[in-house]
Amino acid sequence: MGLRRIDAGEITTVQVDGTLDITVADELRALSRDLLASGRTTIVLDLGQLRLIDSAGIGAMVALYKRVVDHKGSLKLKGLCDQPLAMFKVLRLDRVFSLAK
Amino acid sequence: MSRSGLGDMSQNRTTLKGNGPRRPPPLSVHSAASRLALLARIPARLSAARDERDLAGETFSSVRALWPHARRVALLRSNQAGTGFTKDSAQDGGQDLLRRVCSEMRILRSASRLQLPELMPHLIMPVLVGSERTPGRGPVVSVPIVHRTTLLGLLLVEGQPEAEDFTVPDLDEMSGIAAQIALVLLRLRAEVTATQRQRLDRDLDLAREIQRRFLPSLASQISGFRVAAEYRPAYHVGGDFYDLVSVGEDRAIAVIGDVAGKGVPAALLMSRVSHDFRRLARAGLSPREVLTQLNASLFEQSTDEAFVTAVCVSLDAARGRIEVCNAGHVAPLLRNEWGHVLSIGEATGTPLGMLRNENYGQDELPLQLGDIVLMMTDGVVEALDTDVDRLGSRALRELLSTAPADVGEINRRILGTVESTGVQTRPDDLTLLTVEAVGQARRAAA
Repeated sequence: MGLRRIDAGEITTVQVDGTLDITVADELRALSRDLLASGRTTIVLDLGQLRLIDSAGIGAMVALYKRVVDHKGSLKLKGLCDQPLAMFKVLRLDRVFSLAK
Repeated sequence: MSRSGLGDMSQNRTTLKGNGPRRPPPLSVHSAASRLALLARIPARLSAARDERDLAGETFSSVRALWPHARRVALLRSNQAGTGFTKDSAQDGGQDLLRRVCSEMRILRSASRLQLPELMPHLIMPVLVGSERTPGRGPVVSVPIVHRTTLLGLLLVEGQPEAEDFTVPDLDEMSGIAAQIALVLLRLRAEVTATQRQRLDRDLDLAREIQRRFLPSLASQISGFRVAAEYRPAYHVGGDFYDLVSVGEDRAIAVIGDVAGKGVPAALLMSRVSHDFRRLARAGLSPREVLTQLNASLFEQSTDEAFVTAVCVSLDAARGRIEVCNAGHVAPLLRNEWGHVLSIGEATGTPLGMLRNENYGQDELPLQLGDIVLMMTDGVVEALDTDVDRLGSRALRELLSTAPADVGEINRRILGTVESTGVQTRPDDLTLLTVEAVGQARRAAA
């Protein structure tokens, strides 16, 4: 459960497992603030093990996306599936984020 | 007495020598009796505490009365999260005494940060520190304040520098006091939680009130249309909203939406969006223009996390046209007079407030008299969701298709089905806005 961060070269991968709800969203928000403040703006969210996302989780991801764009960085979502993928499609966020298998 | 319940005092140590049964000389009958009387009064004194600081003060004076040689007394209380001690209880001597105990137990490093989880295994048992081991400093006792397996705090008592060590009977008495403190602490904290809950309830009432005021009570009949709206708030009030504005003979523009988030912030955002919608709708804008403008204004003025899913539909019964623009919302359904149901206006863009320059598309379809448009929030769809019918769309289509051509009855049937699914505490609001094109002007002319 929760977040795991892996820094490899310029890329920071953040693994989000289980449920991305308001609690984890708060952690994600804090982590993204840290990352961008320390100049790490190439971010991959690994969502292969993410099973459930709610509106707070979506909000946190969108906020991260906006901040990364402001920092002229890049944000990729990897492995999105199940309910989170369905949610992204309903909200048309699949067009906004760059999704990878 | 200091504010944290700590204090310095100098009492002669002969009193100390008379204390426990193991210590010579034995207690005089008189002092034993008065000591018992003191002990008997402690529960009443402690439970009279109005707050934690008060409790610390009572603890301090009770301990001082029983062990007059006590130089310092501290009541460290765990914070609500259980990660450390409350600031006011850890300041001054409390922190110092804890450090001393930890250094004697060789756990000083963790104690330097006073992290409760790390200290807990060491301090869940009473600790006696003798005076001779630290020249110039008195003996110290640390007694845990425990509820079941949770460490609520520590009672720390230091004797005068030359005083004899505390004894096991001392420890027993202090443990008795600690048990009293635990009960009072739990009660005080339960009261605080109750107050916080009341505050949350007030917050919820306020959110409901905001929402109630901004959801219009729509006339059931406006020029060219029959209208029925239903709103069922969930326990956690969300930010569902709907509206329908008549923009001329046989023309109307409707919106339904869902603000992400709950409580007062969502209700306030919802009130702003519905206000903006009325203004834009009256200006005669198309659904696409309405949502584009709402998006721009939300993007500029709301927080990064805020977003609103919405669908906007304009209905023109005179020209037989319907226009739909959808910002990440569940698509409306259209039922024709033969009972066929189709989904109209799948989302062409992201929810409002997410992207600065989102380019929303707009679907246009013919509108026949007798057509019924059903707009809803995803609470409705989710409530009908089953394993075989992802997102409950089949159930909803079925309901709409077989219901009589009566907008009020359609809503009642849908809500009836949702409520009979047995979902007692809905996580989401349920909102329905159903419109039938009856086209008065055209009918009158015909």
